[in-house]
Amino acid sequence: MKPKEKILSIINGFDRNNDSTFDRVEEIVEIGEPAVPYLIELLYSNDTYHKWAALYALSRIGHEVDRKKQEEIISHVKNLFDDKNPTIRQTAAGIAVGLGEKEGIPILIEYLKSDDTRLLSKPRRSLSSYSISVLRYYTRQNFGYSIYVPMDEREEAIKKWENWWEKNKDSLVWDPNIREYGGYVIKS
Amino acid sequence: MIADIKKNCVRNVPSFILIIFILLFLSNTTFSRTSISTEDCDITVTVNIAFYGDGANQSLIDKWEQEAENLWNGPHGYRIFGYCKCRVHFDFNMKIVSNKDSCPDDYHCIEVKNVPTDNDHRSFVKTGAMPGKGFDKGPYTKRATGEFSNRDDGKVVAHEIGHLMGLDDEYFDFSVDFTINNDGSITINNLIITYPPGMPITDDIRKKVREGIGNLLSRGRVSKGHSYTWNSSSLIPGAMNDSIMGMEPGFNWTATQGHIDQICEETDTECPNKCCCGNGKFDAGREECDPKAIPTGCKDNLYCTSLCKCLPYVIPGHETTTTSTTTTISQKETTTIPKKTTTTLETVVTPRCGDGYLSSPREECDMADHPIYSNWSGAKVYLCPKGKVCVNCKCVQLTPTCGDGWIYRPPNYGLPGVWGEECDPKATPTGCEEGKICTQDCRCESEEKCPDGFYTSEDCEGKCGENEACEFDLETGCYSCVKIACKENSDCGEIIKKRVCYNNDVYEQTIIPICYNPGTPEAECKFRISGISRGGQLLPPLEDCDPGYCLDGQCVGKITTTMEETTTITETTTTTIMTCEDMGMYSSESACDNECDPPDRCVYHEGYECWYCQQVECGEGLYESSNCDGECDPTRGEVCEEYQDTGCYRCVCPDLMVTSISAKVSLSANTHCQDEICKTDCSLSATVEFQIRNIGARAVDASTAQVKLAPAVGTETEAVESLDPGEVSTTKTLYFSRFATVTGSGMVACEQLDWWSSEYTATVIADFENDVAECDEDNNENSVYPSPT
Repeated sequence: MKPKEKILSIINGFDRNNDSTFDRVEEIVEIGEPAVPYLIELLYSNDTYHKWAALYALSRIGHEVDRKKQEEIISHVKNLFDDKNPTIRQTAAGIAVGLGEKEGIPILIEYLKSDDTRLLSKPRRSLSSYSISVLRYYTRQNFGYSIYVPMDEREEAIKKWENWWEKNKDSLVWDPNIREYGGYVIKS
Repeated sequence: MIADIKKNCVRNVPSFILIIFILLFLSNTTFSRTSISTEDCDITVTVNIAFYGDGANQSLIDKWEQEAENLWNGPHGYRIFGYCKCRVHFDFNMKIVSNKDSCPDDYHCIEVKNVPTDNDHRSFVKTGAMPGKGFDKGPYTKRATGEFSNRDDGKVVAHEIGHLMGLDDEYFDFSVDFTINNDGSITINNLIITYPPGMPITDDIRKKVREGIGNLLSRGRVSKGHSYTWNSSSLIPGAMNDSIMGMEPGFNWTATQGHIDQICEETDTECPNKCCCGNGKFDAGREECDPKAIPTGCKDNLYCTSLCKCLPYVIPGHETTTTSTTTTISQKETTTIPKKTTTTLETVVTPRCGDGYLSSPREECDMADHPIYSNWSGAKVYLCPKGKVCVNCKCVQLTPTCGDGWIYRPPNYGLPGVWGEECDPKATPTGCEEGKICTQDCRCESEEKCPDGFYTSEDCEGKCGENEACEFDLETGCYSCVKIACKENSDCGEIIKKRVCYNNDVYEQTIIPICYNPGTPEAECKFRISGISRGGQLLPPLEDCDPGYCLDGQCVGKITTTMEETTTITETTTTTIMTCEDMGMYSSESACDNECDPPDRCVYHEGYECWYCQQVECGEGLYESSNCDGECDPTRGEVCEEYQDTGCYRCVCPDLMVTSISAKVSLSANTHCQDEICKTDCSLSATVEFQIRNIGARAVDASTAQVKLAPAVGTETEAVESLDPGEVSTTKTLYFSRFATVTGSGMVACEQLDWWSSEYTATVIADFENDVAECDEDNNENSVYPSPT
C-alpha cells in the first residue's frame, strides 16, 4: 500500500467513541519520510483528529529528515499556531521549537498555565506537562516548575519563564548540533 | 517390520495422547506474569515485564523499575492491607529481550518506542483479557502487550503497571458542545464520553463537566454569548485526586489505599488474624493480648508474649516465688495509751501494687497507677533504674522484646507460624553465626551495608534535613531519613476562605490547616473545613442563588452578575484574623460541649486559642456498644456502664475490702481463796471496729460481714449497708466478752482456758455469705493482732 493510501486508511478508521482506533497512528510514524508530504497536506484538514495524527507523526519523523525538509515542516506547522484547538496549537509549537523555531516558545510558556488535558493523550496528560517537558528539554531551564503542585503554586515559576523569554527572545540561538537553544542569560 | 511399527504405534498411543494433553495444558497454563502471594503477614504482588524495541535500554528500565516500585510501595517501603494490617510489597521484575518473540512465557511483553524528544506518545498496555478480576486466576493471566515511550517517566510506567494488576483508569475523556448564555448560565448541547468506551453519562459525570466549564468561565477562557466545543478529561466521580490511576494534574500521584484493597480483594487475598499480633492494639477475639499495646490486655501477673499469648511472668534465670500474704502498713502505727495498748489503723494503705507506696522488699517499683489505692496524699511514683521497666511492681527486662538482651525462642521455634527471635543485638553473643549481624528487629542478616539512603547509625549520620527525622526501617534493618510533614500549623498552609457551591447556593467555606503530631514522623496535615453546616444544621448561605443556581462559587443566571465581578469574587482570599466560630471551632468550652457528641470530646487548641471537637475512639478495655460487646462476666458481678461520660462503655463490678480494722482486748484475773483453795475469775472483754470499702467501679447491695476473734473468743456477724463505688461503710463495732472461774490463783490459772492467750487475732471477712458477686472474691479478708492488756 502506498504511503498516502495507508495514511488515509488509518485516519479514516478513527472513531472518537473508540479510543484504541487512534493507537494505529504509530503505523504512520513507521512509514517515515515518505509520509511527510501527505502529512503536511493533512495539517490543513478541517478535521481536528486528522490534524492531530499529522502532528503526532511529524513530531517523530521530523527529526529524521534533512534540514531543508525540517524547515518546510516548520513553515507549515507555524500556520497552526493560531488553531482553535489547544492541543493542535501546542503540538505545532512543540514541533517547531524542537526543529529550531523559537517562535513556538511563548505558546508553550502560555500553556504552562493550563492543566487541561491534551487531546487523545494516553495516559491522560495535561497541556502544562507537555509544555514543561519540551521547554526543559530544549532550553535546560525549569525555574522550579512542577506539574505535581496546585496551579497557584506554579505562578512564580511561570513568571520566571515569562521573564526569561522577554529577556532572551532576541538573543536565543538554535544550535543544530546539540539541538538546544543557547545565547540566553541563565539568571532570569 | 510393519507389524513392529503397528505395534509401536499402538504402544505409543498413550504417549501421543499424553504429549497432546501436555501441549494443550501448556497452552492454558497459568503463568505468573502478575501474581500475588502471602507469607505470614507479608503479601507480595509480583509483576514480570519484558521490554523490547529501539527505546529499551538497561538504565532506563532500571530507573522505571525503581521509580514504579517506590511509588507502589510508598514512603515506608510497603503498603497495608486488612484489619490486621498485613504489609503489601510490590516487586516488579523488568528485563530487556531482543524482540517480541523472545519474551518469556511468564512475562508481559511491551515494546519501547524510541521517541527522539519529549514528543507526545500514546503509551498503553493491552491486557487481552478482562482485567481487574483476580489476575492470579486462569483466564485472567493472559499476557499483556503494549507500547511505552523511552520518554515515559516512572509515574507513567507505574500507571500502566496498575493496569497489569487489574486496575482501570480513573479518568474519563469527554467532548462537550456548550453555550455560555448571555445571562452567564451554561447550556450543554452535546456531551460524549470518548474514553473509556461505553461509560454511561450519569448526573455525576454531567456535574463534573459542568464544573469544568464553570472553571473555564471563571478563568475567562470562554465568554458569554458564545458556543464552544471542548475536549478534555476529568477524574471519575469518587476517585482520589492523587490517584496514580487518575493522574489529576496538580497532585503528586501515588497508589491509594483503594488500589491496594482492590488488588488484594479481587484476588481473594486475606490478611490472617494472627497478623494483629504486635500491631500495638489489643484486638479482642483475634488475640489474647498485644505486647505493644498499653495495657497489653493480660491480667495482673501475666505478660504478653510476642505471640500475643498471656503467660505467667518468668524472667529467665530469675524465677521468683509469688506469695499472697497480706500485711498492713500503717502511717501512724501505734498509739500507746497508759495501761492499754491499742492497735489503731488510720489512713490504711493496703500494700497493693499501684498504691504509690514502695512496699520493699516485695515491691521494686510502683507506678502509683491504681485508681483507688493511689488516691492518698503520700502516693508517689517509684521508677525502675534505666533499662528496666516496672511490671507488676517488679523492675524487669521485658522479655521477650527485641533488644532486651535475651534471645527469645518459644517452644517449637523454627516451625511455621511459631515466632521468635533469631538473635538479640544486645545479647552476648548475639546468637548469629559468624559473618552475620543481628538486626534491630532480631534477625540475623549478612553483614552488608545498608542500601542507598539508609544508614546503620541511629542519627542517620547527620544526613537528615531540617524537616526530617531519623527512623528505624523494619524492612532493611537500617535507619533512614523520614520526612516530617509539618512542625506547626503554618507548615500546612494558610487559612483559606473561599466561595463554594452547596445546595445550589453560595457558601463561604473556611479551610483551616492543622498539624497533627507536629515535628514527628507521624506528623500530618489535616484540614478542618467549615462554613456549610454546624452541629448537623445547614448554615444560611452567603448568597441565595434562587432562581438561578450556583456554579464554581458564584450564582449564575442572575442578571446583575457580571463576568468581571464574578471573577473578582471567586478569587481565593487569605485572612489571618478570624474568630473561632469562623474557623469551625468554638470560643468557649461550653459552646463546644453543646455540639460535641460523645465519645468525641472538646479539646483546646493552643495555636488557635479555640476549642474544637476531637474525635475519640473507644479503646483499651472500653467499648463503643452499650452492651460492651457482650464481654461482661456476670459471675464477677460485671455490668456494662458508660465510662465517665465519654460515650465509651466498660465492664464494671463491685469489690468489697476491709480497709480499716482495729481491735482491743482486755484480760483480767481476780483470785479469791478460801481454806487454802484459791479460785480465780478469768474475764475477757474485747472490741473490734472495722470499715468496709467498695473499691469496685459498680455499686454494691447490702451485705454481711463476719468478725472472728481468736483463739476461741467468738464469731459474730454484722450487717453492712449498700455502698457506691469507692464508698466506705460506717464504722462497725462489735463487743466480745468471756468469763470463767478456774482453780488456782493469778493469771497463770486462767491460761488453762482456750480463749485466754497472750496474742489474739481479729479477722473481718467482708461479704461473708457471698451475697454479692465481686470482681475479686479473694480480697475480702483482713486481720489485726492485738495484744491483750
